[in-house]
Amino acid sequence: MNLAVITKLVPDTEARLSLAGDKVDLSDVEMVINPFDEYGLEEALKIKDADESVKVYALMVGPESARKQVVNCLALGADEAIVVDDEAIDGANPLAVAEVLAAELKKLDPVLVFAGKQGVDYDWGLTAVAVAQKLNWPHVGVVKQFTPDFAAKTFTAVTESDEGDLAFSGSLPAVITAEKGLNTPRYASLKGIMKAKKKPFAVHKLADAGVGAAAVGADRAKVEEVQATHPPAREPGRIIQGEEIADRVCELVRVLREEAKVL
Amino acid sequence: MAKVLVYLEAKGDELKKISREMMTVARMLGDSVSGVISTASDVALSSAGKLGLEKLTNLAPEEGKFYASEAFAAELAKLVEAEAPAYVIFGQTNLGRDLAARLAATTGVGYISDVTATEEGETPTFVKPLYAGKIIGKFRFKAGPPHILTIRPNIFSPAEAEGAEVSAEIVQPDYSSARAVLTSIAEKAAGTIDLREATIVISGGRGLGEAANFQMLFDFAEKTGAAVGASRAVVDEGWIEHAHQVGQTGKTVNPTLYIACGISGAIQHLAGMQTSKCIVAINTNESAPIFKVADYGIVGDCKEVVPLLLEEILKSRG
Ligand SMILES: Cc1cc2nc3c(=O)[nH]c(=O)nc-3n(C[C@H](O)[C@H](O)[C@H](O)COP(=O)(O)OP(=O)(O)OC[C@H]3O[C@@H](n4cnc5c(N)ncnc54)[C@H](O)[C@@H]3O)c2cc1C
Ligand SMILES: Nc1ncnc2c1ncn2[C@@H]1O[C@H](COP(=O)(O)O)[C@@H](O)[C@H]1O
Repeated sequence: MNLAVITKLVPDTEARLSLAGDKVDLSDVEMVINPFDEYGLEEALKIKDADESVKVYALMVGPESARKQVVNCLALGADEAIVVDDEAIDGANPLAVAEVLAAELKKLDPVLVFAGKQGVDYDWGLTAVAVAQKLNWPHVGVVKQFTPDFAAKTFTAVTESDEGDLAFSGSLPAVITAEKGLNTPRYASLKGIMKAKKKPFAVHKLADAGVGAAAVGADRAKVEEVQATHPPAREPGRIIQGEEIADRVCELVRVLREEAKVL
Repeated sequence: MAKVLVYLEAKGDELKKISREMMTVARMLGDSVSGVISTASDVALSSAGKLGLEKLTNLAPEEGKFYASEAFAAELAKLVEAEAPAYVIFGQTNLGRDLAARLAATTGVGYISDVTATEEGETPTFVKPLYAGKIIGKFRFKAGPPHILTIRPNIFSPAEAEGAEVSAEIVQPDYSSARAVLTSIAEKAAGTIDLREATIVISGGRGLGEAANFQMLFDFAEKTGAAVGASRAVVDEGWIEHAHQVGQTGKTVNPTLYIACGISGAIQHLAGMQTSKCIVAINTNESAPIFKVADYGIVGDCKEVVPLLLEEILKSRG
């Protein structure tokens, strides 16, 4: 039985971002595996823990330079990694990326694809859902509790919403996107790190994926990013002074009412 | 004339605030607005009917079957085909974004998520925060229509009811086509205020000292009509559920007043609250980064300040 985890390379959440003209300049930024994808990977590894015959694939459309980060997925316990790096792919277009991922996934024939609920870069939350659509599979998004039943080819999943917890039932194969809280990701062990070096790592071109360049080029994008800017800085605030704590609180409530007018 | 389709949301008998916010955006972008909703409540349906819609469609849930992205996206795709709207608008809520993504994938049209502003022009541009708000991105649709948007809650002002009430046309979604179905909703106790819709959010971090002290914040929330948020550090400690986490891997909130108690102000936390109208920070360390984004700060122990603050606010409200 095969499982796949699709992961995206994103800037480290600590990173400061600078602009080059109208665009964000990521050339010197430390990149990491999208944090939500780590929960997806962990969920796949938990299934593998219970059944050694399970094979976990880590799949990324991204630069070959992501090898370091993807190898870490292997160190954590994934069996094989594939990075599809081809300049013909418009990596900024989730539908194009999904096209490539779906083509690779068909070959891997997994029973489950785990993803993150969204990339912490553009928060599209679209790629994994589009993968499900292209595979003609169901999906459940933003999952915080997941229980597969491989024998019955079904699953249940819980997501959280404004209304309260939502319980879904579905059939396998399926795409599941992970919310923080789904599990607690493990750390790589020394043994895992050593083993990872020997695990299969493939770098594919579009042709290997079996996708024509025409389907995934930038000219197919339906949305264009016109401009990126830094948000206006918040005005520096004021520390409320006062002898006693009670005086400060009193003054705070006064300014919240009279100056800020928010109470 | 530009048509707009909005996917309205209700919670029990109540139309969610985001539904009225969507109407505001819809009226900016077009002059004829149709609505789709999925509710079993006649009360909610009637409120939706009064929003000034051209037409209202109810994707009527079945017994034990509620939302199903495949079935709902298929129905929406049919409506889009029939009505040819210029825009289809959803709320950036869990179900709104799920359906918007399925519809975008189904129809292959352009999708911009989490919009916080629109700028009119010959081709309107849509603003959305990127990289957890470190960057503001401006986007434009290159192809289409239709164009799909989700809008961030609590940003746009809610529209008032308008025009005569339209009655809903009932459509039975084809659940047999759906292989993942929402089968039950564990509804929150009445009166709980949603973090993303709250006008006041009071959040606690490690500075609260221990899990039990969150009770102080819940007391505050109950008596002032606020919602309780938290930093990731305390969620990971198990002091409070993840549903309360604010930040990059938690919720994005936009209240009128955000009160950070014992929170250092890490960049990932700021990502979830820096667009709040007014930020108050309570922290013992005067050089904590949270004070850089706070409008007002108190250097002091939050365990001491919060009860006093509650008392003072109640007093001022009379
Ligand atoms: C990928 C990633 C995603 C993340 N996502 C999030 C996220 O979504 N949300 C989030 O919040 N964090 C997130 N973080 C974690 C973030 O980096 C910080 O670790 C976290 O926000 C710190 O929480 P804190 O402020 O409660 O704790 P601390 O940083 O420990 O700060 C505690 C603060 O309390 C003050 N204090 C101590 N005692 C008192 C007292 N008695 N009264 C008042 N103040 C007191 C201290 O001076 C200090 O400033 C993420 C991190 C990573 C790597
Ligand atoms: N380039 C990519 N390669 C592999 N998986 C991706 C890629 N982009 C997005 N994903 C997956 O889709 C999820 C949602 O991404 P996004 O649509 O960018 O918000 C991510 O959390 C990943 O699991």
